[in-house]
Amino acid sequence: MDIRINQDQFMQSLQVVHRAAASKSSMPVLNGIYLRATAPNLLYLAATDLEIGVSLTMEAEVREEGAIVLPARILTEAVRRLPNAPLDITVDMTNFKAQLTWGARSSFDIHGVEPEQFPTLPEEKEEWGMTMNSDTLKKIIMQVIFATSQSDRRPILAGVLFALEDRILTVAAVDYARLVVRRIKLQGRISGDGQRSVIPARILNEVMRSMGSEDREVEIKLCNSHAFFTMRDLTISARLLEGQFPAYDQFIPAEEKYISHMVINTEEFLQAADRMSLVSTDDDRTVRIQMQDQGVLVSASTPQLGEAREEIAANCTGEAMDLHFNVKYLQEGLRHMEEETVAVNLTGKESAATLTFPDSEDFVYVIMPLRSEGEESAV
Amino acid sequence: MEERTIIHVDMNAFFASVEQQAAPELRNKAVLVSGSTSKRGVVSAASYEARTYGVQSGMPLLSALRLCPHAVVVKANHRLYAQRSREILTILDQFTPLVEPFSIDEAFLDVTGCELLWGSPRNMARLIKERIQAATGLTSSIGIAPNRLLAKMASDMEKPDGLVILTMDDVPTRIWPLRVEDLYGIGQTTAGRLRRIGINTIGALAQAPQSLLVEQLGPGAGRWVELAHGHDDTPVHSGLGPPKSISHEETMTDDIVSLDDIRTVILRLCEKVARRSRQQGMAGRTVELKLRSSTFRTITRSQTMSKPTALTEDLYRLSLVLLEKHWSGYPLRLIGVGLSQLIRQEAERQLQLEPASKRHEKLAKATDVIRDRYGEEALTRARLVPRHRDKE
Repeated sequence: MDIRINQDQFMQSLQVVHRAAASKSSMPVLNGIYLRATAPNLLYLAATDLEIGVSLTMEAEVREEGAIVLPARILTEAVRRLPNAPLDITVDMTNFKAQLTWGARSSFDIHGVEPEQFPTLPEEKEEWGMTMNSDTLKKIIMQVIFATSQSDRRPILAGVLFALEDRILTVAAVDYARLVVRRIKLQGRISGDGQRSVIPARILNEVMRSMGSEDREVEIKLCNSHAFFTMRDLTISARLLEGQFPAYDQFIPAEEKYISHMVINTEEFLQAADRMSLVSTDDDRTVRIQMQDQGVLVSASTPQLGEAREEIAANCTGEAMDLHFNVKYLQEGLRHMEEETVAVNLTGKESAATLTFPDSEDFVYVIMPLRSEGEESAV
Repeated sequence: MEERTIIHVDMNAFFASVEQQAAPELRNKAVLVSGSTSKRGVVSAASYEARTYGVQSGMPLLSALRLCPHAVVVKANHRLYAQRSREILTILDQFTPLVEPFSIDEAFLDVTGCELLWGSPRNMARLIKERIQAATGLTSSIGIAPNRLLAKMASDMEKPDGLVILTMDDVPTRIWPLRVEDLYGIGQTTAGRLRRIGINTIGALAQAPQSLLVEQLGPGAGRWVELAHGHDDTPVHSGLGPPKSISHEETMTDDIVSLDDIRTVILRLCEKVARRSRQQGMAGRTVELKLRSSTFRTITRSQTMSKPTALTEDLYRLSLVLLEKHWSGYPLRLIGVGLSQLIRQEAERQLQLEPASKRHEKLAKATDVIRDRYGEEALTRARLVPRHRDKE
């Protein structure tokens, strides 16, 4: 194998691909990046830790075809430190040694692994799927992904549910104390109807990072075992989570259960929550929400750090409530809300509350309050 | 570690002395305190007058009465002992904030640096003894030493009403001649094993090569050599730290062998442990089942859950799993249930979406409220209601 490639473009590709490589696998081939050069001008890069696979194609001047697996960390770090100039890579196929040369008299040799050992990435298959622009996808992922569960008690909760029905895509995430559901009417290409899959949060984070800042089309293909996200030359494939995703509908309070509502400016509420979090500790993230005539009194205090309280304007209706939440839950829910105002709907001091877009059913975030301190709950 | 001054206060024949103070007619008499005055009772405490006949605490009541037939048997009044114990701790708290109650009748005090306030340690010890006696009429033995181990051994050296000071220099002369089982932390079993390899005194243990001990007696043996040299840097923990485990046990009036009866006892114990955990705001992950056979063979087996609990149902389920695994059907004399790996339940203030074990939690909370208000007997599980009342 013998190629010439631009250092800067190569670096950009490596940065995307290398994240899929395992870092400490006992199988050296999984710690590597697979490179395959095809004449006249195609370089294919891939890496996988068997959970996630990333592959992409880029242009290169191919003087001799061939393939090699090179350790991801060394390759990426070496290329990062090279000047932005044409870079030659030649591979001695008898001992799988790659030589990087640049400038007149500089070179760098990396020992690789024979390419046949590299696992085949799952073959793309579409039982259902859709195409949407990356900004929309990013937005709806951000609005739910924080509520996936970090604990390993139930692995299925580490994923986001994707379900398609009547051109409406529903994404949902459930933790033990909260649940978020976002619905969106799809405008672009769709295939299939009535299917659902649970995609690991880790993969979706990787997808978001790979999308970059410019808006482009993302093609999502799903089959019973894998999901494929394709953006131009880049494909991310991932094994789906297996298991039963909770029937989340049962946790969303019925309309008649609500006893009070507050409509608040989203940004103001978020900023207040951010300030409250400054006086919270890992052990105590309590924020107190007290409904008043003209607004909401938000307060928090910990003996170690201090106290904060502020009144924010709100349109309150129903029973005046006084209750406690985990401030982090509020921050995370509010941070990616694109609506200007948010409705906070309460069903009781110690029962589910919801945050919704006013007059819309596209978004619902259910959170359980904190048990009120020092008070026996009603029996 | 800097030089410390540790005081160990040990109340003399505590239960029996409290009874003698409460009832003057018992003073100067042989008194045996027992939790149950039935034939299966065990001596919880014996007054010094009874001890001269060879009676020791832990002895079956029947054997004690054989040694000392004229002894007066008194049913234990734990509420009274606990009250006296609290009074004594209040006195100790005046001397230093570092008071660690070690059991109902013992406490460690770290009085390092308190000399400016109270004078020499000996003076402090005298004051402590005087104040305890003035307030409760009880005598105590006090040990003063640079660490807990030696303080504890010192308080043991003069009983009753003793005051002994030990320094590190005293170890070879006053500690080494003692028998190995007198070393605090070495039980009868270990002492037996040590004697089998020719180690009879603490001095011999101190001189023994550590490698030999570890080889013969396991990795824990290294620490015994340290102890035999009088070294111990365990700090005195003040205040009421969170409990490490919560347990209850029951000695049967008659050995039981029926699975059904055993389950009932276990359920009752689980209920008590769970209730007390909730009262203290704790939840634990490890459930321990203790079984003592009629031949006095005792086993303790435990199992750990992924999530802390303070619910009777969880403890009961796991206890039964342990019972099934480790009990082969022999008659049982004692059963105990314990919960450890405790954490504060406040962390669990976050209410959960999951409805799964919610019902049990609500039930537990409801029964706790009723019992707080109307007493422990106000509510019980159907299984715990005696079925054959006429038999009693």
